[in-house]
Amino acid sequence: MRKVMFFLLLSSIPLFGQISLRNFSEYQWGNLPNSEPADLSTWYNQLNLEYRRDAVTVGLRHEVFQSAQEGRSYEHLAQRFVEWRQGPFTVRLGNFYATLGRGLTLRAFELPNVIFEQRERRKRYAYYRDIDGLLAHGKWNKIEVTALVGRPLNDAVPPDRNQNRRQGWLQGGQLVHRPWNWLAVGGAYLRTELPNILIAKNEINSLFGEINASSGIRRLGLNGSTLKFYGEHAASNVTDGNPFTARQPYADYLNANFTYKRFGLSSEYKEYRQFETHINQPPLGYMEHSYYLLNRSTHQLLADNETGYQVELTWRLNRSVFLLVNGSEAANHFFNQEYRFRERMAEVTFHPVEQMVGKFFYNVASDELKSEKTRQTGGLNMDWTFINSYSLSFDLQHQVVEQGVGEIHFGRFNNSYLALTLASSPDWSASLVMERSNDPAETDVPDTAIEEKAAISWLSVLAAWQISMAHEVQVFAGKRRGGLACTSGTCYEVLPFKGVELRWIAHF
Amino acid sequence: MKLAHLLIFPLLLFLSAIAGAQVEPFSLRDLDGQLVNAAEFIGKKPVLIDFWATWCKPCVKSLPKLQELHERYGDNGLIILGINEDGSRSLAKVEPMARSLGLTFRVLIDESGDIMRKYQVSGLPTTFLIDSSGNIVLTLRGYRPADEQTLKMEIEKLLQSPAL
Repeated sequence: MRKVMFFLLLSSIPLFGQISLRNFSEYQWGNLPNSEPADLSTWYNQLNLEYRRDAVTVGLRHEVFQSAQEGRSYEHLAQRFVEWRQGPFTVRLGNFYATLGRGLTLRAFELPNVIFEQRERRKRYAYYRDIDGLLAHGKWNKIEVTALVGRPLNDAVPPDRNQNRRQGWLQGGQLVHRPWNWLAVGGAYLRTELPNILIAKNEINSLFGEINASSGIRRLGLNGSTLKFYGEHAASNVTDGNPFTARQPYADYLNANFTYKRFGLSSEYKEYRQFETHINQPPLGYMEHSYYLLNRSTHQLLADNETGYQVELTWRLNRSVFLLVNGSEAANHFFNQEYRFRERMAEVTFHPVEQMVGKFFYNVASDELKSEKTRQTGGLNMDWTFINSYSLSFDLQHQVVEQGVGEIHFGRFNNSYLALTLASSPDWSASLVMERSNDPAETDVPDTAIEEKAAISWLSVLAAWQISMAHEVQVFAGKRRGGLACTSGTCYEVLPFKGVELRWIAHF
Repeated sequence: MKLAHLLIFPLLLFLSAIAGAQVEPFSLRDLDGQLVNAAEFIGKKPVLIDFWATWCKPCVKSLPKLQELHERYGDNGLIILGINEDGSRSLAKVEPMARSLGLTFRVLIDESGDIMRKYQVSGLPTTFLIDSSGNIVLTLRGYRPADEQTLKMEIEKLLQSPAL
C-alpha cells in the first residue's frame, strides 16, 4: 500500500510543478591493465534531480560508488539547494557555482559527464568545485550585482565519511556597471579563510573593464568590423602570520579582439604571480585542444608563476574553406631558471563536395617544463554523409616528440591515433579506435630489470545509442590509454583501463 | 550493487514517462553585452537552442549548418539561440570565432554554465528544438554529420503545424 501511495505521489508531482532529472550511471568490468584482480567491477551513479514550481526550484545530487574492493565504496548526498528566481533576481541557498570577473578571483565550476578516478584510493567521483552557502545575484541592463558566502569544495579529496571536503570559508561579491553600450566596469572582492592551503587568510580584490570600440572603428570606414578590449587586475593581501613570508601576489590579464567581415583576431596577455588560490581559474592564454593527441599533450597553466600571450586568427575564405592559425608562448620561472612553452597551430576546414567536410591540422610545440624539445602533431579528419541520415567519419592523427633539456637529448617517440565511425542521425554511432605508441613511459614495464622499448597498441570499440530523447546508452570495450585529459580548459588524469564499460545517461 | 540501488532504474523509466518536457526561459547577455530574455521567444515561436564552445571541434563543424538553417527558416519564424559555454577561461575567442564563421543568429554567453545545468546538458554540442508551446520536440546530444537533415525535417514539421 505504501508503495502504491509513493508512486501516486510521484506521478502527481508534475501536476503542480516541473520535474527535471539527469542520471549518469556507469558500470565497469575490468581494471587497470596488468593489475589484480583483472575483473574488478565498479558501479558509479550520479542522480541530479530538480523540482520547479513558479519561482522556486529545489534540487539535489546523489552520488553512489560501489567497488568490489573493500573500503572504496561510498554513498552520499553531494549537493542540495533551494533557489528563488524572480525577474532579474536570483537567491540560492545550498550548493552553487559562480565566477567573478574572468575567474582571476573566483571560479567555481563543474565538468559535466567527467567522472574522475583518484589513483591512490581508486575512488570515482564527479569533477566539480562548488560552494556550499548563499548566493544572491541581480542582473539588469546596466547593473549586475553578485554577493556570496560559503564553503568551497576541495576537489582533491574524494568523498569519504572521515574526511571533510569543505574546510574554510569565502565571502565576497562583484559589481558590474555598464553606463553606456560601449563601456562596462566592475570590481570584485573576496575574503577567504582556507586552512587546506598554506595561506590561512587572504583578501583578493580585482578591477576590470571592457571597452567596445566598434562604432569608432566603423567611423574610420571599416564597416562590418568590431573592436573590443578587456583588462583585469587582481591583487591579494596575504596574511599568513609570518612577517618574513609576507608577499604581494597579483594577476593581470588583457584581451583585444578585432573582427572584420569573415576575419577574426583574438589576442591575450597574462601575467600571474603567486596567484594559485585553489578557488580561482584565470584565463589560460593558450589553446584548448579537442584533437585527441593534442588534448593529452596540453600545456598546464601554473597560476603561481606564468607570463605569456596568445594570438588566434580565424578566417572564412569562402563557404568551403575556414582557416584557423594560433600562436602562444608562456614562461615560468623557478629558482632563477626560465622554462618556456611555445605552440603554433594551423587548421584548415574544407568541403571538397557538398556531402563531405574535412579538417587538416598541423601543430608544433615545445614545453621545457615537460622536457619536450619539440612536439609535432598532424592530422586529418573527414566526414562523409550519405543516404541522408548516415555518415562515415575518419580521424587520423600522428605525433612525434623529441625529449631533452638544453643540449641534452633524451630520446624520441611517436604516438598514432585512428578512429573510424559509422553513425546514423539521431539514433546511434559506432567507432573503432586504434592507438599506438613507443613512449618509454608507456612501454617500460615497472619492476623489471630491462627497459622494454617495443611499441604498444590500444584497440577499442565505442557504441552510443540514443534510445529516446530521455535515454542514451554508451558501451566501451577494449583497452583505453591513460594519461592527461582536458575538458573546458581543466586538465586531470585519466587512468588506463582494460575491460567493458556500460553507461546509461538519462535526461528529462 | 545493493538491491535498493537497483530501484533507481525502474524509477528513472517511470519518471521519464511522467515528466514534462517544457523548458525554462532564461536571460543571458549577447556578444555586445545586451541582455536577451529568451522568454520573448520560448513558448511563442519555434526555437532551436544550441550549446557550443570554441574548443569543441564538432560544435564548430555544426555551427555553419545551423547558420544555413537560420538563413533558410529565420524568415518563417524559427529563432536560433547559440549558447556559448567557453566560460571565463576562453571567452576571448568567442566573438572572433562567431563573426568569422558568419553567424548572424543570436550568440549568448553562459559564463557560469548555469543555463547548461538547467537544461541538463552533459556534453557539447547539445541541440534542443522547441515547439511554439515551449515543449522540447527533438534533442541531439553530440554531433553526427547528418544531424542537419534530421533538424530540417523536424523544423519543417514545426513550421507547418497549425499552431504557428
